[in-house]
Amino acid sequence: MALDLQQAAEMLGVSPATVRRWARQGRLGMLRPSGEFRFEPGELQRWARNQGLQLRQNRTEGAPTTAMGDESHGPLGAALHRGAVLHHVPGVSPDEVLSNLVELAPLEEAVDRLGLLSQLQAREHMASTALGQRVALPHPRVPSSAFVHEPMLVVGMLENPVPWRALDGEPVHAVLLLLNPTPQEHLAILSRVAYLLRQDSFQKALQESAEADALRDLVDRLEQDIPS
Amino acid sequence: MNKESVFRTRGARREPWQLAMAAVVVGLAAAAVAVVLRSGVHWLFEALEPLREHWWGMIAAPAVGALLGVAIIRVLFREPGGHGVPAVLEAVTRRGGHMRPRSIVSRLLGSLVNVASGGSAGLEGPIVYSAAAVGSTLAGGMRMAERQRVLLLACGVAGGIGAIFNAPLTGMIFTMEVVLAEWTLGALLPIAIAATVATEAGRMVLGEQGAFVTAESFTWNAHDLAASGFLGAATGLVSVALVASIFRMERFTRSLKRGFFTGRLGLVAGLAGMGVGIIGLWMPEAIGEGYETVNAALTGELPLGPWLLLLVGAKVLTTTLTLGSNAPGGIFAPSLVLGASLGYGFGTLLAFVFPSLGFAPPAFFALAAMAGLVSGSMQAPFTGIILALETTGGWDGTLPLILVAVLSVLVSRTFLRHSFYTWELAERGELMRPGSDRRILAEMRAGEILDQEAVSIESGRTLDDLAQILPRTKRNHFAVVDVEGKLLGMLDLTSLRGVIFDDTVRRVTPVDTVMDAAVTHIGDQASLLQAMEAFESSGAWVLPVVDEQDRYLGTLSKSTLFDRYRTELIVQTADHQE
Repeated sequence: MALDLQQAAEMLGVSPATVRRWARQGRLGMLRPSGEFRFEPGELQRWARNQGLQLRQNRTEGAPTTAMGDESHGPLGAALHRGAVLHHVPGVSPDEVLSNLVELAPLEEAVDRLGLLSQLQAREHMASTALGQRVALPHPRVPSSAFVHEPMLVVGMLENPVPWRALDGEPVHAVLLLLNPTPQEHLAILSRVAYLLRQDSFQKALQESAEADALRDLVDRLEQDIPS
Repeated sequence: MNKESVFRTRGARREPWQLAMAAVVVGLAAAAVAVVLRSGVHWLFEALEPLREHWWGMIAAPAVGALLGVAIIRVLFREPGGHGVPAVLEAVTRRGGHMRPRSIVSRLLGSLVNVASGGSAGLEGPIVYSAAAVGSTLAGGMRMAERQRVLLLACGVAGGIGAIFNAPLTGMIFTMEVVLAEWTLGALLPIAIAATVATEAGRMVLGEQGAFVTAESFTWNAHDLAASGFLGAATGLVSVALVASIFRMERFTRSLKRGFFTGRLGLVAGLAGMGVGIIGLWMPEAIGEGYETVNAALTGELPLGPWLLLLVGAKVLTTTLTLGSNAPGGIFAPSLVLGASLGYGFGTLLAFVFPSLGFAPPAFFALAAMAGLVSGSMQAPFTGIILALETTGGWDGTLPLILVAVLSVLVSRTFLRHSFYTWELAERGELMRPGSDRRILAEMRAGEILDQEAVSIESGRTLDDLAQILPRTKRNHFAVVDVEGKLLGMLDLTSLRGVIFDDTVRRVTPVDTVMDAAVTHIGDQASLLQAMEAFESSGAWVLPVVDEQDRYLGTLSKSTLFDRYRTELIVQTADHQE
């Protein structure tokens, strides 16, 4: 499959105008270019290697992306579907609750759960994640792809209210565990969670320990109203 | 012609072979030019012999020759005057090797007339110019891209010099050292082939005799080498005097061009030519190409004493008059004559002052000083050394010759920042050697690397409107444009931070009141050299780019510039070898 000018330029990480100039200057081939540009990817790679140029074909894969939804969900709904809605999470202190949440979260087998727990504790140590209204938003101190490859939201309804050093002094009834691979995704998900927490229907659902499916539907519905 | 052809990066492996074959063709064509020039000068010189028997003929011939030479170039071919090497360097560094086909003939004819009639100049200027144009024209016919066109132009130069002096090495080295200023294998191979082919073709027509008689065999000792050190400094000083006085004269000529009469038809050159003729009346050795003088020095037959000093002075004067008045011709030959007489004088003086030390013969020092003068005036030691050795066959004297050439360049560079060839370009800021910072920046256009995602807002909108845009973009710089998209000013988010979060202020503040209307902007066709100057004079990191109608196109940031700079450096300095 031959590349056109635009694709070749992207592969080399320069603009089409630059590739056109290189061709005119005889840096790509001996003859003056005329007509349409066509580059064989293999040849272009060989040329770039001979020059000592770094190709940028993997750029979009390695680069940080903002949180993405899928066809039926927004970014947050997708994160919740990857996560879980848990009821009657036991524990009398934030540490115990966090420890149980990490155990119950649908993480991959290879994930270092102890490491995750210590990251969550480190974050709580910096400042409480209880924002008031009886909800806490624990998350690792540093977003990391070591724990998840895509954003994940785990909602935990607590067995007993737990004092969480909240700003309003109220004990916490529900916990929203946020796991994100990158800071960009963390910010995107966090801003959506903040929007949800301002909606009365969502607050009500949390206080009433709504069923998993009902909560997921609610999130999907509310998220549609968020301007993107 | 609307035929659509497809461009591929194929054939990189074949390219050196195809260039080599093209170099053969260019070499043959360059040899033809050299033959025409060399025999033309010879023929015209002989034809003018009867004229030189009269005193008025001695004066009139160089005058008319210089006038005609300039007229041919300026009127007939409508090209700027001068010896032409700067124009070739400019074609190499700034025009992608492009020269007009008419340039093959223009300077060839002009300098043929000028030099044969007695102008104090050589043939390397015109041969370089004509042969370069031959190479460029052939490359154009073969649809070569710019870099390859430059290489074939260089092949023409190497072939032309090689053929006219019967000196292939000189052709190669002059081309690499002076014309390309680049020592890469990719360039050397075709140039060597062209020089070889052209020299042999020239020998078949012009004969196997070099430009000069073969130097006798020398023996020399350590004290000759020590004496060469002094000779090197002396040749350096004479080179400086020669080049500086030519440029004084050239500036004077340029100032006269604005005059009504003096600007016409090379009138200045004609008058200067008359001056050359008058000097030639009492010292015929000081005019023309002067190869007999060089030969006489090499065979030990030059007259001695103060006469030699006079010859040096007279030669500087005639060369200044000829080349400084823009009459066409080169500086090789006058440099060689000056060097030969200076060195010969130096040698005889040594023998006279220290008769018991047994210094090498004057011809030995004449040879070394020839290399010294060429090196000093062109600031190209390699070319000077090889030219002197190859045209005289005096390879015995290699070691002192190197010493003289290098010392001469040392002295020359102390007083002159640029050489005879590069001065004009450097003065205009157009001297850009391959791989240099200026060259890399000069080749890129602002339009190539601008950020087209940049956001603009129409004049009359408020900061509140701007705040609506903010969440949708990652940019920090916004252009304020009129209804036609013309740039009016720039907004920098960092400087708006104080007001953008205040709802009231935001609604009552039109963007026009807070924009930087005096912002420096860059045209999309501007080179990054100009862009870099704009960055440096404004202290900005991001500047707006506009098209020819001042319409806003996007922003150019210093960080993108530095990012692409390295890519460009890699591509420009790669030696196109697999």
